[in-house]
Amino acid sequence: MKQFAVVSRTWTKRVSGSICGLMLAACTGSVANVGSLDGNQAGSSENPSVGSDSSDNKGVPGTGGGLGGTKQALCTTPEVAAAPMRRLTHREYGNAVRDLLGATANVPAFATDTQSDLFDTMADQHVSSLLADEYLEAAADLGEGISDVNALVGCAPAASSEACTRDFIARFGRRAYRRPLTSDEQARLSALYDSTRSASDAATGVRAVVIAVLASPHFLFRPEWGAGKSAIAGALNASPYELAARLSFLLWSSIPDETLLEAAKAGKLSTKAELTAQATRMLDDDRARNANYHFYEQWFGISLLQTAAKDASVYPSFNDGLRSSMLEETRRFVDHVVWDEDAKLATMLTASYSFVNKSLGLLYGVPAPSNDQTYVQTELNPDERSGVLTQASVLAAYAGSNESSPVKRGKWVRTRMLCQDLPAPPANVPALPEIEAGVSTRERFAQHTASPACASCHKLIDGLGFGLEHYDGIGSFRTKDQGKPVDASGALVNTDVDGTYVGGPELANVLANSDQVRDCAVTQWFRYSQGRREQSADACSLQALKKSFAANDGDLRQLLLDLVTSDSFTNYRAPG
Amino acid sequence: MLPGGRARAATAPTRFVVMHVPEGMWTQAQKPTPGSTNLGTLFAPLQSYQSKMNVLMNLDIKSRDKGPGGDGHHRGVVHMLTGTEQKDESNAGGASIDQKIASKIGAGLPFASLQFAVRIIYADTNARPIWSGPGKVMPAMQSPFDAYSRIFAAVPAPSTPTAPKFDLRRSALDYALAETAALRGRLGTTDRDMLDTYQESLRDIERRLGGLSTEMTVGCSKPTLGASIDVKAEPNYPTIGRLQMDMLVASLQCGLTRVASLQWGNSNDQCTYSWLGVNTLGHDMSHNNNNCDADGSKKAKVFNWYAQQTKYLLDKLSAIPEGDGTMLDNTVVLWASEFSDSMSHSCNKLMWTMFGNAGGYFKTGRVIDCGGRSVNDLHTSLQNAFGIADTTFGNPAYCGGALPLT
Repeated sequence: MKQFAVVSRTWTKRVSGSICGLMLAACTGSVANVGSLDGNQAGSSENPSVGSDSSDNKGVPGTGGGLGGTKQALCTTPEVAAAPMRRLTHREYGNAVRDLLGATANVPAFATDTQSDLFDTMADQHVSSLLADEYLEAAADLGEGISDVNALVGCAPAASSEACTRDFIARFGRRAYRRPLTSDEQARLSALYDSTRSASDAATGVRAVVIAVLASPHFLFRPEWGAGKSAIAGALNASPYELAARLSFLLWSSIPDETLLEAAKAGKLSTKAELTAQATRMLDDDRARNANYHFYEQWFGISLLQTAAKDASVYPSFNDGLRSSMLEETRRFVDHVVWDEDAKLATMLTASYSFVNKSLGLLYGVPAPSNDQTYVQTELNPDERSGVLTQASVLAAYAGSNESSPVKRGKWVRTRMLCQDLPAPPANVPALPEIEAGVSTRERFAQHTASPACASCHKLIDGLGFGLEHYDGIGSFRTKDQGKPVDASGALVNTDVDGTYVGGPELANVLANSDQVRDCAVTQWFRYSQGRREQSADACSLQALKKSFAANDGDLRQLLLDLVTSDSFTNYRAPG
Repeated sequence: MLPGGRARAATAPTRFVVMHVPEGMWTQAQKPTPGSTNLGTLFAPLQSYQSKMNVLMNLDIKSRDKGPGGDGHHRGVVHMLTGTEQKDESNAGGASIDQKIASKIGAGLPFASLQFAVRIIYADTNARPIWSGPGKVMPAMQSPFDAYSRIFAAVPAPSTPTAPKFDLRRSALDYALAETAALRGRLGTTDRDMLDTYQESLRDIERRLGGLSTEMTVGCSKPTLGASIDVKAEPNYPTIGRLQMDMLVASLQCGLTRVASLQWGNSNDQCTYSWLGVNTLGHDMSHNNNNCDADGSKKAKVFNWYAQQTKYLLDKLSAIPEGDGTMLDNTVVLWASEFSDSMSHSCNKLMWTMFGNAGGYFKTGRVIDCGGRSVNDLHTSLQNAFGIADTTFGNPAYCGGALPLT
């Protein structure tokens, strides 16, 4: 038997910087260089600041107007930033396939899309080797799964190269690729049909065409080339078909319909009025509701709740029924505000009502239907609830399994509502004490603000999260925590609405009156729609969008119409 | 001291496996004590592998706090195997060590590498340790049932000598490859780069549809799965983990790949380990002193459980004879987490363990104090073991040469 040798060896000696200095530096200066181990931290500890809403060091219009350390790039000459090619998200793929093959098409689950900067629409989605396998399998299953080939084709395909199949290939290809097929593409697909038909039969030939189109990069990706010189230097106009696709992916999370493709063909997407008219038509379609909610669901980050675990000994009332009720409540609430109400951001943040079923009635302590299937618009106690921030979905998703979490909730407000990035926590963070009877969550978390090492960052987080301490780990309202009266006083710092407040409704109200929050909503929609972070070249587009959004009193429906007529939407600039 | 000795290296293929554990791997009380023979309680389930492992103490992820990126936890995951600054807020700036090794030893195989995972709840950067290049995350298969169809579909069953037919897939593949080649010529560099990964993956599929050589599948048995179960349900976590390890080892054994990884959960740990009676979210435990520190604490129970899972993987590899040793001897299994101790969320003073010796390349059986050397230096050693002669890995600024492990 070999002996187990224990060797203690030091190959290099290095002097590490003081831990304390390291931690103090964490929330000062530029985000890019925090916490460097060699002591070269940038920035000054006198003017702590969080990052701007951009990763572009050249500086952009920050949402944090006037925040220390936030670089501002003003709109001078109109520009647009480069638009990298995007892959369809899994949601877009599914919707597109159902639009192409019918609502019953059986779309499989793919390896999870990433969510950079909150959203699955980011242009960094690529096709890994796993996903390529899944795409080919899905295409084959979908093609083989077509139940009625003649119904899809619209006639009975039989003879080689006859009109019936030729028209189907042109129509199906145009819809899937969001533009007419080139003659080469038409010829290749016709040849595929012919060879498969002669080896098998006409229906199999059609299936082969469908499978090939669904595996094509022209379906899976969104390549763009622009068309014609734009008034903006260095840019081209997005082509009519590219605009049709941009509209449909943004507003429907799917491919254009025939009406939109016909408008592109007729050159009827070239003016703001024409774009607005199409967008208005599209927003009346049910597809817009689903697509629109997908933005809010990701902005608010509530899908985390779908799988969040809760400790049954602490929250015996929490179960999958309550979980899905919470998720459904927020979906109904957002839909209502955007489509049936005034669509104002302030309403989203301060509405006194929500949609309540039996389980939620018990949670909120309000009269409710006698079952979980029925949701009724219900006034909630205005001292306890105000808008989405105080809904159980958000509060339960941003909590621990057995306690509330001022840190998760504070970070939620800081990053999602104020669009400020937080730098990395330093190494060697001291731990919090264990949950203990008689010691409130706030008292345990107060270490962060008591210790100077932690305070530089945590005053940016905890002052937002402490204000939500009236809500436990599943979003129930409480007046006591571990037997102690809840202290829900909080403080906003490094915002345009700095000051103290008490409790969730007051925090929601302050946020609803913040220019920074209003601008942040525009920034989040901009990222979602463009599939990337904003850059300095976006300064003019963003400034115009924010100005209009402010002038419209934060109208989220109007914002969509502004987005689709913005320079960044109607122009194309090729990436390098 | 060399198990098997260097001379045996030549015949069997070498393999590399990453076993990623979320939120740290040990409590202070569980660690070995350098300079003594006390291995600590973490390694209790792994006693029988003492002579085949190196415990590497005090490695640092030196790039962690440099460059763009979100919070430190997420950065740790993205940086731990790439050893370089991120490309942007959400993406790695380079390939991870397993992928660099795969690009060397995976060429021509049905799968250059395979990624397995157990219960990834959400997919932001904290779920992304594996990258094939800057900005190119390699998502993992979360379902062993789907993994089975993907990996073993082309492996002939003993009774049927030919691979199954894929007619319509085949013609669609040819069409997609032709379209991809044509489209590629019309794109700029950035977009072309995005398309290239699809093209490469299509070519991999093309090779697999061409049928596997019998050489690949000799001595290979398809794993057995049992009835399908919900891969997202927490109580199934241990079962899914074992099935994924069965898939992983069978893919190595069948010669379908030489590089694989297994990722246990989100690194922002969303598991409550109910079957251990822990019932607290892994991430919440990390932020709580009493859950972490002591032996017998909740975290210690979790870490010990992961040590047992590592043992399961090693037992499987050791049960497959190769040459005058076992598959484990020709493999390196890197057992790693983004944190050192969980509570501090520190990416310094890591303790990672490697098992196996890559066909006699590494000397094993040691606890080594790396004295704050960079993980990049370990990755340099690993790439050298698999025939990549580069003297640095990741960002050279964090490199001091290979670790003296040979």
